[in-house]
Amino acid sequence: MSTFPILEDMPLFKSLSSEQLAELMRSASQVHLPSGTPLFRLGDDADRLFVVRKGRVELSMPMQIGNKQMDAFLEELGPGDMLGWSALVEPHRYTVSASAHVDAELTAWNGADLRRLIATDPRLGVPLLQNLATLICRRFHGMQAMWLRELQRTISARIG
Amino acid sequence: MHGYISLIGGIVFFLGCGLFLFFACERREDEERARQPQPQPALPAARFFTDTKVKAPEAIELDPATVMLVMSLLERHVRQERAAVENFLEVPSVAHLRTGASSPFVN
Repeated sequence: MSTFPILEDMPLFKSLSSEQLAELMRSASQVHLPSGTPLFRLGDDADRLFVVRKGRVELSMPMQIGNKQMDAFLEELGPGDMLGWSALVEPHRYTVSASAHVDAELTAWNGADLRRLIATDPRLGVPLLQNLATLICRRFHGMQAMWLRELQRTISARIG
Repeated sequence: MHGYISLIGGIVFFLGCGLFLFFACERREDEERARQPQPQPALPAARFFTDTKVKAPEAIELDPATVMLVMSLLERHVRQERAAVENFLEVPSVAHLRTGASSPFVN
């Protein structure tokens, strides 16, 4: 019987032992985010990394619609999804805005604490960073595919 | 005569020793200076979305209902594209990159 069944199922914590998960949880805090509340804004100091436990969190970026600046929808994250990886990656600035779409519960880690833990315990740090790289790569490939689809449509519209 | 030659020889000898010691000390100081970490030039402050509040100069006036409609169409379009991309990530194929979206944004 696993001590951390929810964490073990999360891609960020894949292949970490129960002891390592326990160590991670010792430095974690819980965040309750009522519906509509901003979690962070694009360009803010990225001081925390989050994993969604319950609810939905929406990612957005500023977009100009006529004379209005609006937060354009980018992605919706649910239980098990990670956000705020900029807390581990320089220049430690959030690259999108995030807010609760409905009431949400998140587990948060202080970025500096997590970076220290990764540096001092490579047996925990290496798999954690590998998992992080896999997640970032997946998002990058997703964005790349979206961009290619938009380009393909532009080409089709212009030359058929 | 012999005394003078000995005296000059002695002076030359001590001068040589002095110069040798002087250059040896200089070299050691240079080596120590080279071993010390050199101060790095300060990096410029991160320029990261510092202008998110800038308005486009020729932006047209839109009524709030139109803005909300555009936002809702945009969200629908992005959700459809996300779904298509999830399929592409599961089974990468050229066909997944070419299937059109049914959202009004591209039709």
